[in-house]
Amino acid sequence: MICSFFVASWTGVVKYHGPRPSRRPKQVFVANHTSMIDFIVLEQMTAFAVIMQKHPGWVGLLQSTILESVGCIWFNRTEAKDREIVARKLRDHVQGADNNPLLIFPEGTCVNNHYTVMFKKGAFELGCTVCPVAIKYNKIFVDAFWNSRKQSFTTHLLQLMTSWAVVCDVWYLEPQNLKPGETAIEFAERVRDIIAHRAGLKMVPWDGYLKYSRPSPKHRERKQQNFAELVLRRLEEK
Amino acid sequence: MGSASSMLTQYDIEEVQEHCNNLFSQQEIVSLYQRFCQLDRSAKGFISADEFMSVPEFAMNPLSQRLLKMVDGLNFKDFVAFLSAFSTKASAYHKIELIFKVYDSDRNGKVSFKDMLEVLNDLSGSFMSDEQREEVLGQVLEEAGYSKDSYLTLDDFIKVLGQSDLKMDVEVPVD
Repeated sequence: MICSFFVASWTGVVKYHGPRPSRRPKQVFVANHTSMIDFIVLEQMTAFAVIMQKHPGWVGLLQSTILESVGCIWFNRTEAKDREIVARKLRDHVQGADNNPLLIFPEGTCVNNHYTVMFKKGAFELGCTVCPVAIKYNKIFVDAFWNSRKQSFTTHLLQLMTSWAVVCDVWYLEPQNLKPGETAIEFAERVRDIIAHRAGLKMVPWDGYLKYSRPSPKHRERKQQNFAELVLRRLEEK
Repeated sequence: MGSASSMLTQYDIEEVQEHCNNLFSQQEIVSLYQRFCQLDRSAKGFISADEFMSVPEFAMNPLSQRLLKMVDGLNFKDFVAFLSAFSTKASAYHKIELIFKVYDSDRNGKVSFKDMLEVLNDLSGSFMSDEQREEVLGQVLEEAGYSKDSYLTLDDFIKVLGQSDLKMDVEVPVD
């Protein structure tokens, strides 16, 4: 309900397609991520529990108070050990029948709604059904992409509220299960393909976290290795 | 200058277009400007080395340090002129000239055996030994009719590379 008001404040026109998610244990929802408002757009329809990065400032306060009521799991991108703790929390949540269905954004960060970056495999190794959700914003009215490197959320929200409207489409897609012989990473890529296809997004092989850190030297080294092998092979053939 | 929505006047676009010998269309120049402004976070009018390195593919490129020397501190007009070698409309001569400049790091108009070894070192890293690199380079030069003592000029590069397909074309996305 609260979400509906919020959505109305930025003149949100959301069109939902597909069957409304039903509450069942052992299922997890994954969606592509463009902005913090993705969560609100989806929450408007169904009460989801979500896993989020804790933000500083008034957003953090909002997160703590309102979102606690739907059941939220917090993580901290910068903490190294955090991953194991969060993985355990996710697993516990999914097992519990009374909890709100869990919504995860496997890209791990906001992306500009033209592409999808690599999905992190965490959501796909929980041993449960994955229900993909695709969100596509219509850019003509406003660009919903929150570039957290450039704007604070407050500025972003202000920009949304003063624009014409936030128009988007949400598709609830067919639930997927891990296929026999499929790894979690392959499963993640398959679901990413389903979502990208539905929302008309391009798939790119980049790690979303590159937004925050430089690529490790191993990428460069792999290129050097490929080159060296090619050259040496030609040398052998002579 | 500053945010991505800052305007380029029609005059600016034409000036940049002239400076790159019409190798980019006006829409491509507008797209490039948007990207330039995104990378130039502090709106200085040029992109610093650090800002270039924030582009993942650039950081992963084994030749990034060499390329950086060529683009560091360029204003938008000169940056577009640099990029124009990658336009589909650019001639083979233009493209080979850029390759030559990558090899000729001391900019004396000549590329020595040592210069080529250094580039090969950047490209292969720790995956080839110095002996292997010397051997490969020696063979390549011999096949092309040169020796280890040769100093290659731009004309030599054109003679050797001029006939092959360089695959140095980039498409500038236009909204």
